Amino acid sequence: MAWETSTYQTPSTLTYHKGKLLWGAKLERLVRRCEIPEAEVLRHFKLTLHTHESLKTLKEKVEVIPEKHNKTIYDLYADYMHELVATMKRRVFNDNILGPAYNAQTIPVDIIVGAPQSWSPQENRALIEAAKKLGMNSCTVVGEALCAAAFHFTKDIDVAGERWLQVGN
Amino acid sequence: MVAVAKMSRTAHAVVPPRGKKHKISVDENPDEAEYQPDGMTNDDTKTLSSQRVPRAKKRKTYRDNQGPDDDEYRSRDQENDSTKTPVSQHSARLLSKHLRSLVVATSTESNVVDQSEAPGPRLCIALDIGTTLTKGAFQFRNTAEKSVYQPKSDQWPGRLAPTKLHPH
Repeated sequence: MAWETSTYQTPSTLTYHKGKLLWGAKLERLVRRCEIPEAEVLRHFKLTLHTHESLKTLKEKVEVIPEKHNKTIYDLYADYMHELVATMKRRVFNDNILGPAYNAQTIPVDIIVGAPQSWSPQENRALIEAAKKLGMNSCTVVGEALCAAAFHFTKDIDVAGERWLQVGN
Repeated sequence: MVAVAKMSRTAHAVVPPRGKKHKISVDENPDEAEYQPDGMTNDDTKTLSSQRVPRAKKRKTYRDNQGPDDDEYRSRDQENDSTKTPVSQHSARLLSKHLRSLVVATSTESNVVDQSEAPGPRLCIALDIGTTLTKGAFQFRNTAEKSVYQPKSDQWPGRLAPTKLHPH
């Protein structure tokens, strides 16, 4: 199980090992124990969706590993998102957060993926295609800047009746 | 020696047309004109042929000469956090209206934003697949009951992936 403690993030790393997808903290642990070679670990794969020429060298590095497993970068994203969603659902329903009336098999799940605001529709398309491969009924790609704005504008208004945007958020 | 001309409140820089020499008028008040290029007096208006006024100096002088609005904002910044930018009520209303169909975010970096109004219970999962870190959040909505369940940001498992990055 990839979840261990109470921090709220996981490394964006994954690899295919003996036909199985390993990712996140569990993969990091295996790398530290030298059970998985560091060279096989995919890191920074998000950058491969960028079309900018300056990332060409990095792209070539990253794209080697999925090709070994006959995977495209879209397959890789789909697999990774599948693991993330499955883990999330498992947590929500196994811990019985929503009560007995709902179960993981029947409830519709919508996926919302944040993407850099500067991404082109073509780059966003990769995320949607990955979600479609998962069979998700709905996938929305939202700009990260919009997410930050939505977060702030749905918070309580401060005492002076004004809203504030934190620089850098 | 590089001469630096500090312009006083009433001094002004004349931006010459391309190819012409730079000309600076210096204020008559000797107290305000603290630094003068060699050989210049306060009464003189001279053409500086070889010295250029640093851009930062000019900008500072320009800001200093701004009206009370700037002072007002500066004092507000001092009262509040200087890293925050005020947003007018009108702008806030406009943006809130635009964002009304979007459902609340759970954290700044890992947001649940849902645009669908489909009836019935739905689980909305937000993913933020970053370059080095992945974050996530979920929200449960039931439009039939007009209820939204969203854990507090620090409440497990309101966010995805409570994973220790570098356990030692």
